[in-house]
Amino acid sequence: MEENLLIIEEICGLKPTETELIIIKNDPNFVFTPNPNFGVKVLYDADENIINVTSWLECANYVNGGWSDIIPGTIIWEKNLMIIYIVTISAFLLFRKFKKTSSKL
Amino acid sequence: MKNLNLAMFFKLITIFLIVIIPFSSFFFDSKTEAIQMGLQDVGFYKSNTCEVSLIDFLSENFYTTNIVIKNDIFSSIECFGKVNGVDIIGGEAFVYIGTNININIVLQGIIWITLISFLSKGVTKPKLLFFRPLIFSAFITFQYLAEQRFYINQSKNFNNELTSDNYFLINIFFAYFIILILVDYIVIPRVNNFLNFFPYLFLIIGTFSAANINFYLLIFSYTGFITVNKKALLNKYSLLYFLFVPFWFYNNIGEETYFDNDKLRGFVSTSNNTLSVIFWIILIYLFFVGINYLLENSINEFQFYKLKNNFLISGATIVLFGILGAQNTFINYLNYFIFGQNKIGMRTFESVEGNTWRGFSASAEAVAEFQGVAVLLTIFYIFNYKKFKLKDTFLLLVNLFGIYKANDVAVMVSLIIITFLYFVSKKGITNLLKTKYNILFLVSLVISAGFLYTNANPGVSRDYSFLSENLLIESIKKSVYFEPANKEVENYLYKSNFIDIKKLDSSDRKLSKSTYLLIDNYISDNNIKFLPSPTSIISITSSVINRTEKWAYFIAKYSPNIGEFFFGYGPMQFNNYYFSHETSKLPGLILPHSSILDILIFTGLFGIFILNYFVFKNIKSFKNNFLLITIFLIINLMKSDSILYLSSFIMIVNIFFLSKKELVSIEK
Repeated sequence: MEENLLIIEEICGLKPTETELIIIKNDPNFVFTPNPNFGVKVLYDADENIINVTSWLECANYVNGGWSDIIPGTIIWEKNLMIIYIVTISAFLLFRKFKKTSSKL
Repeated sequence: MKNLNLAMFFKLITIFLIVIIPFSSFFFDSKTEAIQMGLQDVGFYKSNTCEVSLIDFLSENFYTTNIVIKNDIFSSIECFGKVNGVDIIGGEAFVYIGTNININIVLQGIIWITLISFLSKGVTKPKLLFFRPLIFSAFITFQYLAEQRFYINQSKNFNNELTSDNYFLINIFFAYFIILILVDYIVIPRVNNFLNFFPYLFLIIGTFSAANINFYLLIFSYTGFITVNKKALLNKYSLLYFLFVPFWFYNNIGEETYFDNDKLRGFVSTSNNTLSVIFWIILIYLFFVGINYLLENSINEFQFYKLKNNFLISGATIVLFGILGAQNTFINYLNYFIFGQNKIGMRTFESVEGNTWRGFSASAEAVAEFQGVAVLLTIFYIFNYKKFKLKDTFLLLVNLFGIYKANDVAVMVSLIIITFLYFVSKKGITNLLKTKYNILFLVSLVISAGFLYTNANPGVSRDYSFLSENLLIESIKKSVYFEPANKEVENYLYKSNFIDIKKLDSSDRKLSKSTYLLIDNYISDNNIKFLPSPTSIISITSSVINRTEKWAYFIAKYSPNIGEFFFGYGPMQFNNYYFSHETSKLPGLILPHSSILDILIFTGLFGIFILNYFVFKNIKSFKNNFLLITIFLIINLMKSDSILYLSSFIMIVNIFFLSKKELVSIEK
């Protein structure tokens, strides 16, 4: 897990000093203790499954297992939003221009 | 009239739709129906994240108890306004609603601009010059590069690369561009209302969710940007500001740190790197230019009764929404998003450890001072105009209730003093300052009030020697000597042996320069017998006004070199103060709890001198009862951090500005 620390910290934030970096394998009895200061982080796997993690250790273990915080297709949403913004600005400017021209007539 | 009503209806619908649509399932076809939430249903919402909209969730759970709605700022655009996660913490279900900074700016900005559009237009015509918002939105986007560590924590898609496919940064730029176009078109033509309507800055706080910029800071600095000219750049105040700039750069050289500004979000820098210092220096300069322009362009339309009404209504609405938010988690969440709160409102109606109830506001002191001004304005209005309305009485009572719940004794005591002074000076404010006897009377009144308060307050000790060194002891206790507890130093403190504390190995590194200075002063042979030393005076004052603990933290932390002490760290820069000297572990964000100390951090001793000179030079030109409100605010600012909140800062500047104006209607 140490070798993935950089990626883990990029996704889960800096490792808290009091947290030990341990791998929790497939232990069905293990329960991650939620940390209210950590909040909630949503992680995704390649099949678009979603999991909410509520502590740094839980997050680190999932990221170590190949999960990520990037949703497949995120970039499209951001690109779409950019197009909406550009269209809105253009429409407003055209409307102003049209209003100005029509008031001169 | 018909057109006007239609326009108002259209605007109300706009606000309603902007609030509702993004949080509903209007734009997506949800296959999952919301269910009523019991603690056993956490799994349902965990496995169906990003499926149920807030409105759908609310329709099923408005009255469900043990639910806490929280803001999930890390959400993707796709999951905006939807339930993004659920967790059980302490027997309560924390439901996370997704928001995204790329959308927040536009949504919140449009809500607030639509509200401003209800105000009447002045003579300024809208000027839509494409390049103005273009340049300024690029400048604001620059903040995302300057304060990267803040924004990494606010958005999981944060990307600082200047590339054409960095849609995060491009969207931020366009979001501000849209808002600034609307500011040009809708807000600027209405600046004539500024002085009458600024009390609503306390209600609609205007901090963009997940961003470190306030909507009004954006508007005022943008106004400064479009109105700044050669004359403004060359006036004496600008030149003084520019004189400090090289020192601020020099004083910020060093290790880059990140300051978690928490409830100060939107008006305080988080980083002390060169880019951030440049950004805040320019932004605050333009902010001052903008405020000056707004004041000069709204004074002609100023009306005392309008200001009084708006103070009362805003103060009462804050109390109302504070109570509603405390009763219902959904309202609390909507308060946060719609009004742009720096920090989510209180979830209960109970005071914190028997101390304060800040309700809707981020600071109990700031809101109490605001409501105190509302009370004073109403008193002045009733006795100047001899008018008394039932509506005002009701609103006044609600405001008084707000002050009571905030439990700000300083506001209560100063309200009584100022009201008393008002009746003494009823013949005209100039009479009040006419003779030295009156000034003596004022000083003795304040001292008597302090004396009475001390004697009536069981929490304040009567032991002079304890009081005179209490602050010093507390500040040493906050040093690294007490991490963990240190028996040797504790022993010295118990015996008031400050001389041996100074002799301890590496005490000059472990104690801050301020603590050292106070010790030197306290044990100095130059102190006059039977007269308290400056250290004793500060210590006794801090005990009387219940500031010993907070000021002790400040003294333990503040350790400037000569340059930093005289010129400060720069506008809204807390980092070097907060991190330059190691102390014992802090129990959270501890502010200096005095606006004077805040100014000392930002502009140093020279800044304080200049400000004092500016205030006292103008004191001769005070022309109306706003002087009394200025005194009220100055008294309270000594023990509160209110200047760190944009709305309070604007109130102080505006009241000071009004007190210098010839306002015939007030003296009527």
